[in-house]
Amino acid sequence: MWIDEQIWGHRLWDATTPWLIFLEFLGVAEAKDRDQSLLDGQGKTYPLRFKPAQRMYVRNILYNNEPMLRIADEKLADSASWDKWLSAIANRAQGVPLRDFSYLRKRFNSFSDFVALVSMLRGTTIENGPNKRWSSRFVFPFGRHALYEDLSLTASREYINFGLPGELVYQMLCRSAYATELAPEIAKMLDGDPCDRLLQLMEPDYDEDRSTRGNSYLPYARHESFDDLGQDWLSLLRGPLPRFDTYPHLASLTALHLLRYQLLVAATHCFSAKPHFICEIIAPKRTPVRELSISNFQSNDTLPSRAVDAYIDAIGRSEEWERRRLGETPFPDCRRLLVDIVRWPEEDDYSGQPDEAELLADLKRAAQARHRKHVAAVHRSYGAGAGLVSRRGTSQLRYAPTDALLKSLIMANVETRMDYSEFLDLLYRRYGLVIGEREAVQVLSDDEFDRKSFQMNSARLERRLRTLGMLRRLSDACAYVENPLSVRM
Amino acid sequence: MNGLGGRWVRFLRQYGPISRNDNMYDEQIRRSARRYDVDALDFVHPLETDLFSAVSKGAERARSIILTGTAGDGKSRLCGRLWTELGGSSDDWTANEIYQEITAEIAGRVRTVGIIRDLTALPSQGTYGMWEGKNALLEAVNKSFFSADPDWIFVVAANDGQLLDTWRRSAEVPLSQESYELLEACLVEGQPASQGDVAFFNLSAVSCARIIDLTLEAIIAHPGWAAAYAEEEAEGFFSEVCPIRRNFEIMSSPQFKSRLRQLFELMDLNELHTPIRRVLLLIANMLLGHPSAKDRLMSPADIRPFVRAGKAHIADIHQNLFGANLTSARRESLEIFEFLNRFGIGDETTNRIDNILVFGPSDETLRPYYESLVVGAFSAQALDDLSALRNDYLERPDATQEGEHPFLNSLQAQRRAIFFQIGDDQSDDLRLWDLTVFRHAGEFLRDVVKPLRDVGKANRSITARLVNGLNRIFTGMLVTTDRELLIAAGLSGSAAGLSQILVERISVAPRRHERIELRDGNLPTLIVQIDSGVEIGLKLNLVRYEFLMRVAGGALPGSFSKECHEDILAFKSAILAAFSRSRPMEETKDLSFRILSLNGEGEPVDDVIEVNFA
Repeated sequence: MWIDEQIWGHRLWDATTPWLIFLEFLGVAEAKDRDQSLLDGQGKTYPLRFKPAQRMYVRNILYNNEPMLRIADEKLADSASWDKWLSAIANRAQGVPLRDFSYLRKRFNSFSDFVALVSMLRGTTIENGPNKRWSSRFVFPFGRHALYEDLSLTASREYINFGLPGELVYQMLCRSAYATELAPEIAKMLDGDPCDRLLQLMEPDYDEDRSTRGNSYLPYARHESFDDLGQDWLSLLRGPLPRFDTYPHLASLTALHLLRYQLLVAATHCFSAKPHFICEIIAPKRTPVRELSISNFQSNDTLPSRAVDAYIDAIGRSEEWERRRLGETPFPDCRRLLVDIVRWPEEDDYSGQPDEAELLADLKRAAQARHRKHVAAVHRSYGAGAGLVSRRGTSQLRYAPTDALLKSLIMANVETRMDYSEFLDLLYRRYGLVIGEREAVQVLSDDEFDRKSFQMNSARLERRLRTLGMLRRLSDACAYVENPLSVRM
Repeated sequence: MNGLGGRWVRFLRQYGPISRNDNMYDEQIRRSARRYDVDALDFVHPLETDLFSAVSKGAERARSIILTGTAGDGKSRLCGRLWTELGGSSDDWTANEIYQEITAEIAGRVRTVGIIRDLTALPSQGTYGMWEGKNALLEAVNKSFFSADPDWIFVVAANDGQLLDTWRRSAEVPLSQESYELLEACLVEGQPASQGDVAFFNLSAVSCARIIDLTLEAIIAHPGWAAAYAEEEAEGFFSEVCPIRRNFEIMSSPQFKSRLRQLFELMDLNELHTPIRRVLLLIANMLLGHPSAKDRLMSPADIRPFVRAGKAHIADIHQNLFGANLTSARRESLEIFEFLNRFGIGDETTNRIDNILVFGPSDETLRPYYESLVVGAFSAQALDDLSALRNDYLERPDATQEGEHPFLNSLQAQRRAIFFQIGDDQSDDLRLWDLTVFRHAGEFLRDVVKPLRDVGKANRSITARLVNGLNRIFTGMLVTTDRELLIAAGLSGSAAGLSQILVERISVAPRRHERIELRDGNLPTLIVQIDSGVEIGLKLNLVRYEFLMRVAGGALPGSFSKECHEDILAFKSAILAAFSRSRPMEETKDLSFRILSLNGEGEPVDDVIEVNFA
């Protein structure tokens, strides 16, 4: 079946984290940069073909290297330590063409230096949940030599950690209005850090055997959310933050834009209004804003599934469907049309009556069942990952931005300082976030809107930002959101 | 009670936290002073002299004047004073025209001064002198900012938020963008802009300590008090058992005044501003607050009934100071009480203090403290109540059905009172400042702020402890180093908790061009100089000072203030950035890492590991 994919692409995958999406993206960028076509689609939108690096030597050294510390503890003479470790790793290493690590000996002055540096690098491993399989562990993306694709223990492609959303992000940036400006900034992420050079030294000089990947698919040539994403990347990468300090912000804002993309596309399919997010700035007790946020979350949460229904309804309303339905052999003709459009039903997917209306209803059931497994969960998974969706202080999910997300939003949007009410307006216009009364009144009906509680909501945000050192109130009438990095101490 | 003393107290009550006070503008105060037939409070605003000299004959040059600040800072009053100073009659002023003109000799020749007493109240349609409409007037104001020797100058009074807002919204008026930038630079950065000229008076920049000095002095010196003593009524107004009289006497005592001033000085050091109107509100509440009175403020007529009902002593200045007489909603809505309650006075304590409060009367060694601290702070009636509660608690310390034993609830009030009772000579012995959240506040005032102000430097040992605190945050390790600053970086950006790559050590004692020292400024500032002429400063407000001292003392950085932790990390980023500008890394093929670790004594050792990149 091929429905979610036609609406949103192949694929939005829920079982991942913002960091993994970010790493997956960087892996694509590195491969494309190697081909000298970074963020340059050369007019072609499909397929996205690239050859990601695997770097199995480094990965064995970092993550499949249990003997190293044990041998270091034995405190043997330097050359004895090397001998012992080289033979241990040669037995143990997997996925490398030649199990010979002796090149390392020349590159490090002593075995203990080597151990210290490996331990140091390991300390930067990106946490990715309970998955402890060594071939799915990722070091901090210092540069191109720290980027590699997710693999199984037998060195074949794995989709557990990299489930393609990172490839979608690459294509979104590639198709955004900022692609040309972004390319040199993203290229800077790939080279120059000492740790990247260190990782390079841990690989032997050889040409890695790499496979071509190219399964992802993004259905739209342009979309406003691609431009929003590109704009945030550009302002963060050009901003005052040191390069690595931008990464957490890039990761969380990327997840936020993917979430917006999913809902914006869904809303278009359902002919409904552009979605917004009523954000509760967490209050100690239940407030009207919390209630509104909970119901706003629930309504947004069903939007993608409504889009799936709308997509199928559109087939049922199409001229082609109607033509076949009125033809000589309506059922087999309609069935064939479905197979052509959505690749369903295959073989024994459908066992009901030979009736085209029945068939369409069954398609809806099957499509919804499939949708529920992963794509439906993207809203809450990316929302939680980005720091927008949370259950904190209550039993129901709603929009309640974390401090980290607020900081990312300020870093990406406030160059030096911005009037507080202007900032709230900007969050609404660019991200659909509703926090203060002026924004709430634009999206709520008269009987839902409660001025006082949105004023208090905005006052709570102000207090939060102040304790984060990102807001200065000059008086009752005058407050500024400040980018702490561009303000003098 | 209709004598001057009684009328004065009733007039003073108008300043308190009653709902009408929200609209207590200068004009109304004068009107109500006339009604009660008392002299209104009068003192010279700290900025008045500077303001007058800006429009004097001998001024260096003629410039337009902005008077800004938050509501209640005294803009209207200063504006009126300026009007009379320029020769205007006070009758013309009370006519309440928003725009008025006067000619005067300023900076050598006669010029016209246009005074806008409230910019926001200025209707956009209207005739203002020779100008038709607000925009035309604004244009003239803009021109005066950018003219070297203007014939017209303007005095504009406006709330700070509305000030910038007005210029932001009038983009169609010529020069508005330039004026906006000029005013924003003055207001937000507190510095003169590169282009244009204006005499900018930000009333919110006046220190709280100055304001409390001036207002206390003006209130205490008011002739109404002498009259009140003369009007003393037996068992009633201004008798010996009258809480207003008692509160007034405590407030006039040097001990109370100096402790209160310290709190206001600390508010300045915490970058909190409170306008004059709010300070007057506080003082009125301190003197007159009582939870059972109408509007929770006593009038002279309340005294006798309260005394008869045995409720007079509840009007305690030490409680009223923190707004305890008000409802919690009212208290929280008033910034001045929020500021004062941030000190946590009454909630923080030490074992020693609580022992004095609980066992003081019966324990030989504690009794002298009890006598001087508690007996001196409360009225006889309050002491009777307390001792009954205490005895009951000592016999049956269990919780009652309504919650904790009422004696425990009374401890907060007692601690507040003795916070004002402990003299400076006892403050070390009794660890006075441990009764607040800011345990190092006393030290900050005595060993940092004062010496910096008086002699321009502070004791080395203070710098050493600050550096120790910084080192613990910079490295993420429990280091003991205090003679050099360890500039360490994380491998994967500032988000990493541990910073194990040592970039540089900077000596605290002057060495080559390096040095670390405390300097006086608006706030005490820790200066890190890494090269000749290259220095980075960290402004030490009270919270940051407390934070660094607590970290140096062993507290975890995350546990006291997240904001400070972020601030200090941003300070490190600033030092790192200065390093990369001042000592750029040489382009080299060599690759080496300077890894920081701790030895057994908590001293940092760094190993340089080189890698062969050939």
